[in-house]
Amino acid sequence: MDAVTPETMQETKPEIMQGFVFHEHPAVVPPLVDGRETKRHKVMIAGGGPVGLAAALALAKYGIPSVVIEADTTVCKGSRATCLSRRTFEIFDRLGVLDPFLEKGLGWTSGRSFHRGEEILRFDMPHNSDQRLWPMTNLQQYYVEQFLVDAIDRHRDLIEVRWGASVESVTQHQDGVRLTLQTNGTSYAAECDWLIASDGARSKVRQELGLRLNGTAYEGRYIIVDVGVDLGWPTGRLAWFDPPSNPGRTMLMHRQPDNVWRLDYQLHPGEDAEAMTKPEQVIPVVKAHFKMLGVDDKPWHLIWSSTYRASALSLDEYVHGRVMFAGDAAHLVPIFGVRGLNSGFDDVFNLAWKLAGVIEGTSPTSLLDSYSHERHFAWRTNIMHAMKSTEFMAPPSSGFRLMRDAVLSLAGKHPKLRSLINPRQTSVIHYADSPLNTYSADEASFARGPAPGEALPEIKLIDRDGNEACITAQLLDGFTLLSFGVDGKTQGAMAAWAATAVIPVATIAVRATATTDSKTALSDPSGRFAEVYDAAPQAIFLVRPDGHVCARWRSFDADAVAAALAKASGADGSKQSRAGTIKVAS
Amino acid sequence: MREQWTDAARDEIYTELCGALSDAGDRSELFLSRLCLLLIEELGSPQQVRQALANAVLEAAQA
Repeated sequence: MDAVTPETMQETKPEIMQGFVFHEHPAVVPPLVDGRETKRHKVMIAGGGPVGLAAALALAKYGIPSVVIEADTTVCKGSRATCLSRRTFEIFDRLGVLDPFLEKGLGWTSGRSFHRGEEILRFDMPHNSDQRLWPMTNLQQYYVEQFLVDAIDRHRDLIEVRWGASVESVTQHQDGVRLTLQTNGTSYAAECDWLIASDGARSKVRQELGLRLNGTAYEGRYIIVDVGVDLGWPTGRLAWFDPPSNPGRTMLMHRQPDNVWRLDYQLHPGEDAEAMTKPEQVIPVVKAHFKMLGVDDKPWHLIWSSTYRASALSLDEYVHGRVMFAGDAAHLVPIFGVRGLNSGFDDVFNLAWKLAGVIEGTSPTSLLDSYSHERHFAWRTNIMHAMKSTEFMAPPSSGFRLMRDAVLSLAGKHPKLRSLINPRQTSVIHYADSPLNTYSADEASFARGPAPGEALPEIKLIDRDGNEACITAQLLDGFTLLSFGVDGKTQGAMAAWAATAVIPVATIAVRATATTDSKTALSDPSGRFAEVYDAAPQAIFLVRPDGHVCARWRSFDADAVAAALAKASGADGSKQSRAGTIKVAS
Repeated sequence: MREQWTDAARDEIYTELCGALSDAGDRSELFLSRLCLLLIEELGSPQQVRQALANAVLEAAQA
């Protein structure tokens, strides 16, 4: 259930959740015969945290049924992973769950950093008039989970959440996975064709398969605290290095909905993490900080506290036979830059269309290898950025600390050094070396725009009714052939090709100027699409179901597009070695 | 080809410097002094070195 990974969990029980109501879900044992569940499932998902719930919704978009196994009987307590990226919101939109997140979340674009009493950095997240979504939105994880559960309630025909059920054992064989589950003291066997393990940092599935995470665990530890208080301040990232209120600590503050403020602060070496989560230890730290900020007259109360230690750990592969790992079960990323939960959503959005293709028989099982390839690459990219943030926020050795303090002491008067303080917030990963990419002969002619492996950049277009229409909101669940400025003849050829393609392909035509042509849905009167995509008339982009471009051309060539589609869907036979066979770990 | 001095390059060099400083351990002061001497020779500008010296002087609050 944990996207922010609590290390020791001395959680103070939430007495008040500022208006959020925790629904207790009944723990139900399914019908059994001789201790076995009678129904075999297509997909089971171990872990009903945000990543597992999103996986179920993503599969449901393709009509794939799943059962989510969740040990708890409520959504999580505590804010945990609070910052959601623009990319995550795009994924929520594609899952059909965006509205409550927009309504409840607090969007933000900027942050401020202080050293002792001096402001040393103001930064802005990438944001311009092309965007429809905030670069970052703050929302407690219990809301995230609740909104996903609400959406799942609308898909009861395809998704079952089995609350209060824990995984006891996992074994896999050539054509499926066998689990022993336990609910209210009753153990029973269940079987599925495929298992998605999204059961968190201490993944039971990972343990059962004898797999280990590799990488680095940092020494720096943080206390994370939710405080109920109305400060009346705007939303944004606030950071203090060595504040007079708490000398030697690094502190972060984030506003969340319902007058909840999240504080993260670094433990001093030698401080006992478990003891430091206790109210008698937390209250003086918060009190001193609020006094420094001049808000100590505001009534406030502790809601929740926990501890966190930065880790950069990952499995070497995310696909093991019929078991696929996602989120914290697959990889851990330091909290700074908010790449943890956000990368978990990207994991399952990457996985769902591929697994659906395999289950439906339109793609070979080898397509799943690209999930592991792309998302492990994403983890390495995330780590590269997150480690730099971590090394600055929680210096791992004397050299890093000395240099960090030097930068902080100079940054106020020397703006060039401020880039070293920037928290390097998460951004969409470019799958530059994806095996699903096709680099056409035209590729070199594009000076900019989405190259193969990149997610579609947002652009606001105009639809046939004159309304604003954002490009990322136009994508459907399959592949999309996106064209710019094609003539009627080419448009007809594209439609004819798409209608006969082995895999369903939607077409989206963008015209340079508004037109009365009823076949043309979108236009680009501002010229921003042409500029950002480097799209001269006749340009063609083949877009994957997860919104990443897999190939682009200067003009439509049915054979070239068909070959790129075959490659991106795994149907080109280029990696057929695993097709039809599953390697099962012994 | 000469590497450009960009934010990314500064980032990389900063990390390399942190690592080298950590490796120097209890000889970090000597390491930093040597590095300063080498860099001012590279800079080759008395004015710029004096300006950097003035900027680096610790105020009481930073000590």
